[in-house]
Amino acid sequence: MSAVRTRDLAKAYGTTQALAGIDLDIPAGAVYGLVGPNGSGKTTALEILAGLRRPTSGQVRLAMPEDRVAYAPDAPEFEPWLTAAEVIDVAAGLLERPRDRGAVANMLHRVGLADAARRRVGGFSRGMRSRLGLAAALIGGPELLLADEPAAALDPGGRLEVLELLAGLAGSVTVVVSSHDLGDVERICGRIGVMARGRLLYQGGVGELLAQASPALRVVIRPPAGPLLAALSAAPWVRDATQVSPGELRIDVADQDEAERRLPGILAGCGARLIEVGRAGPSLRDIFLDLTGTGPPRGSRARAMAGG
Amino acid sequence: MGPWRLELIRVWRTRRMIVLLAAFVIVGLGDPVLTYFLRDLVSKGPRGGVHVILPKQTALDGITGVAGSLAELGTLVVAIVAAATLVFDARPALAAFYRTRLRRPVRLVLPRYLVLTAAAVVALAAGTLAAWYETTVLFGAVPAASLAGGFALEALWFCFVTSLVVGFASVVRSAGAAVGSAIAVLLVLALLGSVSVISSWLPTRLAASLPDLISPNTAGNIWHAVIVAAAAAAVLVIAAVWRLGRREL
Repeated sequence: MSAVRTRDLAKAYGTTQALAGIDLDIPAGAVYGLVGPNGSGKTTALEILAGLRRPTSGQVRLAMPEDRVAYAPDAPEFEPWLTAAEVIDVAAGLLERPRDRGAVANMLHRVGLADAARRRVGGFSRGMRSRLGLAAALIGGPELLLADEPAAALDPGGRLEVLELLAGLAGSVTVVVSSHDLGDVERICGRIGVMARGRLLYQGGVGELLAQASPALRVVIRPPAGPLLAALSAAPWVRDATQVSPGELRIDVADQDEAERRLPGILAGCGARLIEVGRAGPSLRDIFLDLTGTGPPRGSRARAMAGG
Repeated sequence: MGPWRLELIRVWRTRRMIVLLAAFVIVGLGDPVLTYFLRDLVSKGPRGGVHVILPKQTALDGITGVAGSLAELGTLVVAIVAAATLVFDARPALAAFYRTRLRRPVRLVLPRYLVLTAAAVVALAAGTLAAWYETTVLFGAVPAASLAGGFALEALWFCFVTSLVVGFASVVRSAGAAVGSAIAVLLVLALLGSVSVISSWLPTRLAASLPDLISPNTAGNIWHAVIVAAAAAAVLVIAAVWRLGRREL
């Protein structure tokens, strides 16, 4: 069952088309990642789902009442003269779902702000405000949580905590997370939508997307790898070759059969001292760059690194 | 914590209540003193051969001086404080916090508007009490019932001012623009007040009405302005609720 379904959803700001007809389909209880480069329309889509903007055209169907939709913006703001505990109390009170002190304290504990409960939020860092934004969104018991770049302002430890918190909601709350950090999305989302220039370029499982990727090989030789990279970049069966670390190469393959036949010859021809060869997992980042057309042209990386 | 308690905390913790009280009480205490010593001040100033004769100042003069200052300084302070409070969409992320929780715009507008207006009226009451005390001490008794009537008219004026600000707050997105627009409209209304045909109908007629029910000469057709101000305030608040409900973030 879909928790969120949009049909041909479009939004224009004057002459700028922020959304150009997207069809989102987000299953109930899923953690759904909305990924795309800056300006791709992710925030506009979330704000429409949150009821903060009206679409220019198209339909939105939510499987829950609008007061069960919570929105955590990427840089949340609160009244600076309230304490963190009061913000959570207000967030619940405005929804007419008052919570007792224990519930408020527990929610602040879940987002790692237990020690700051009595501090006024005017002095909070952006990371603390992001955590408080999530707590304020969750205190009302939402059925749909829309989180815009929820981990963007956090340090690596805080990032992990917040991502685990969101992942833990799967099954009980439908979570839509917008991000341009593919590592975050890959870690917690079972299903993603890839957006660019207001269009939805892909929607489906992360695994299915990775399966669509062209095969890749991982080759480890004793450095230097320059001559081998140069030879690979000239081979017609190589789509792209990059040096991941000194001596470690990733080869995106255009023709798997040719790769299996020709690679030993190229290695021998370069006099490379082979340590290891095997399959490389496809990179979500590369697929994303391919889909959105935001990456460097194929082969440029091989040529660039061959010189080094 | 519901929206009403939140708004009460807002006027206190942001010191807006203190700003309002300070402005009104200072005017209430200070203006009668200025009026009382006006003759002395004038007689000791440079005259350049001109002989100025001032009549003896009365309690009515004391209250009239307070009313004039409140009409200018009080209105400006109330408009600024109202704009700082009532421009809901000045900070989009904060507006999102409220708008995703208070889905009916009336719940967004009414508590904030009414608590702020009540704060202005409380400050006016404190200023009026201060003026009544100071005037009684300096000039003699002031008819309290008539002064209370004048206070009610003046309170309606400040309701009109905050309504005007909330009306503009639903159109513009910055406090500066809201207060500027509201003051511009008030100035235009003040200018229109010089047109005798409509002057008694304008809400600005109430702006300095503290002494109106004390002095039989100025009471006149005050009820026209009362009706217009009350109706305009209600229409402005309803329009603000409607407009904010339709406006995107």
